[in-house]
Amino acid sequence: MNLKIAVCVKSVPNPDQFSSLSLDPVSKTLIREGIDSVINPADLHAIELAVQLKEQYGAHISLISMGPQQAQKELRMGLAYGPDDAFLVSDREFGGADSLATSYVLAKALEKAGPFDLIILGNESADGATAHVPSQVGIIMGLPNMTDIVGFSLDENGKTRVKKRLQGRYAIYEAELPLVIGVAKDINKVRTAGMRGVLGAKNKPLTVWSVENFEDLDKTRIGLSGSPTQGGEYHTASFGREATELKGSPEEIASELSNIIRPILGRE
Amino acid sequence: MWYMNEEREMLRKMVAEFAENEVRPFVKEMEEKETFPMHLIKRAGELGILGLCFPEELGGVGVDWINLGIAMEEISKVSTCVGLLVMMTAVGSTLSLQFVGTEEQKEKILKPCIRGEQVLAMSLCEPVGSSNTAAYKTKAVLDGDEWVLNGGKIFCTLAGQCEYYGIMALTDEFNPLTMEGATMFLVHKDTPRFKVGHIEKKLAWHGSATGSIYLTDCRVPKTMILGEVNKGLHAFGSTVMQTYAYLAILSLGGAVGAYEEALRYTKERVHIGGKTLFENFQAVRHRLVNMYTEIEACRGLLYGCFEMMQQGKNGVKECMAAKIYAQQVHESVASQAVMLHGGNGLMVDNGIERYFRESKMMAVGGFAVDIIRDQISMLL
Repeated sequence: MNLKIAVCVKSVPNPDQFSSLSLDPVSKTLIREGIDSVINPADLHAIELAVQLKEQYGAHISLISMGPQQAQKELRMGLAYGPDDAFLVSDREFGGADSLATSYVLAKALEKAGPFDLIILGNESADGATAHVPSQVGIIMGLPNMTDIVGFSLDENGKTRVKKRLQGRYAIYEAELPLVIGVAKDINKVRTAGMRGVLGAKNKPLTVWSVENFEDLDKTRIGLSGSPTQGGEYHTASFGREATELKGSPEEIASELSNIIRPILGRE
Repeated sequence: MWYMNEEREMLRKMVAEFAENEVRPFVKEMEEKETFPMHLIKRAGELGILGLCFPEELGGVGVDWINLGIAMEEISKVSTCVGLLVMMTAVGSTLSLQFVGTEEQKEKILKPCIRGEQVLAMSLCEPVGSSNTAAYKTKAVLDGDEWVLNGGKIFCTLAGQCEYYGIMALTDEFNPLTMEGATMFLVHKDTPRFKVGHIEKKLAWHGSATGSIYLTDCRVPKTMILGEVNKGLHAFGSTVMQTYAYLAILSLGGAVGAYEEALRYTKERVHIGGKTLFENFQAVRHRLVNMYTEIEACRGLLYGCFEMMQQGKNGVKECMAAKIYAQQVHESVASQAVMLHGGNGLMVDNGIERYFRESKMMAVGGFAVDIIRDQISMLL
C-alpha cells in the first residue's frame, strides 16, 4: 500500500502565552505582537498519526496550511516529524477568513495538491477552537468525514476502523478511503522530532501558493468578505464578587447573617 | 543571538522538548536515589543528539559545533549531570576515536556509542592527581600480542555503567616536554581481572557514578590502543578544544537554568503590598540584570569558541578560558539564584540549591579550573 496522506496544519499563538494575548478593538483580531507562533497542538497529533501510518504501510505525507508567510516556520517544524513536503496557501486576500472560508481554501489546496487517500486534521485549533474545519473540508470536498477521533487503524485492504468519541462513550466505524478525519489529542503521544528530522527538514519541498495559483477559486468565498461569520461586540466579563459588610455587635452580625442564609437554605 | 537561525531554533526547541519531557521528570529521583540515567543517554542517541558532531558515515547527523553547543545548553539548563553524561558520549570520550581510532574501534565502540547503545568512559585520574601523568602507577607492558595492565584509577565517571573504558597507562618513562610515555587503552568491561571498585558519594551529580577501577594483570589486545603507543596524551589532546568548550557549555546551561528559575520566582512571589519581589525591590531587579549580563558575556565567549571550531581555527587558549569563565558565571548566578529565593532557596525539594552544588562540581570536575589557569599561563 502506498498511501497519499495530507495533514492540515495551522500556525497558532503559543498556548503557553495566551495570558499575554489581547484583542484589537477595531479589527477584532488577535494582537500577536511578541507572541511566539507554534504548530496547533492538535495538529501535531494529526502529523503523528500520518507518520505512524507511513511507518506501517509506506506513505507520502503532505502538509497543507493557510496562513501568513511566517507560517513557513511552523511547516518546516512539521516537516521535521517526517512528512515529505508542504504547501502554504498565503495571500492577503485570504486574511480575516472565518472557519468556512478557511475550509473552502483548504479544500481547494487539497484538491490542487492531491488527490489524497486520507486527510487528517487536528480536531480543533487552540486559538479559534470552533472544531468546524474538519467537517467543513470533508463536506466541501464531498468526502466522508468524522471528528473527535481517538483511534484509527487501517487493514491491508485499505479499510479503516475509526474510533470516535461520543458523550461518555465511543463508536467504532468502518470506513473506506478516501476519508477526512479530525483527531483529538488522545489518539496518540506525539514523538520528539529527532535531529535527522530537524536537519533534513530544510531540504524538503515547501511550496507557497497565492490566489493567482488557483484557476477556479470562487473569490466570493474567501477572506473576510467571503466569511458569513463576522465579529460582534466584545465585552470583558467581570468575575469579581459583590461583598456586603456586616456591622454591629457579634450578636447583631450573627442575627443578620442568619437572616441572609436562612432564605437561601429555604428556611424562614 | 548571532548564531541562531530558523534551523537552529527548531533544533533548540526539539532538544528543549526532550529536556523538559524526559530529563526533568527524572532529575529528582536521580539526585535523591543516585539512579544512573542510562536510558536518557540511549534516548539522546535515538534522537540523534549524540551524533551532532559526527559525519553520517559514522552514524552521525553531520558536524556542526554550534548545533551541539545549543543542544548541550538546553539539556544542562535542566540538569548539568545529564548534560555531562550526554556530553561524554557526544564528544568527550568519543571524538578522539573518530580522529585517531582504527576502523575496528570505530565499528566496535564509536558507532554503538553514537547510537546511544553503549558508553565509553575515559579514566585518567589516579591518587597522585590526574594531571601528574609522570607519577601514574598504572603501567602496561607488552607480552606477545597483548598488553598487560596493572594499576588502578579513581574518580572514573560512569564507573560500572560503561561497555568500554579508556585507561591511560605508562608504557615508558614519561617525558613532560614531548608528552610521550603514556598510552591510552580501550578496555572492555568484561576483560578478566578488570574490576570496578567503590562508587563515591559526591556533593552533586548524583546521577553520575564516580568510582575506582582496578587492573590486575589485565590483558588487552594490541588492537585496542587508541592512537599510537606512548602517545596517549596526544590522542586525548586531539580533542582538547572540544573537551574544554563542551564542559564550559554545561556551566552556561546550569547558569541559565538557575537564572530562569530566579526570574520566574521573583515575578511570581507576592510580597509587601501585594506586589511581587521583582516589582518591589530595585536590588532584586539589579541582581537579575547582573546575572543576565554575566550569562550573555559568557555566551559570547563560548559560542565564539564553537565558531572557531566551525572554521577550523586553533582556539585552545580561548576554550580553556571559556571553561574557567563559564564556571565562575555558573557559580555566581547559581549563588544569586539561591539568594533571590530566600529560605526557599535552601530547601532541597525546591531544587534551587542543586544548581549551586553543581557549579562547584564544574570547578573541580572535568579539569580543575586552577590547573587550567596554569596551562593557560604557559601560553601567555
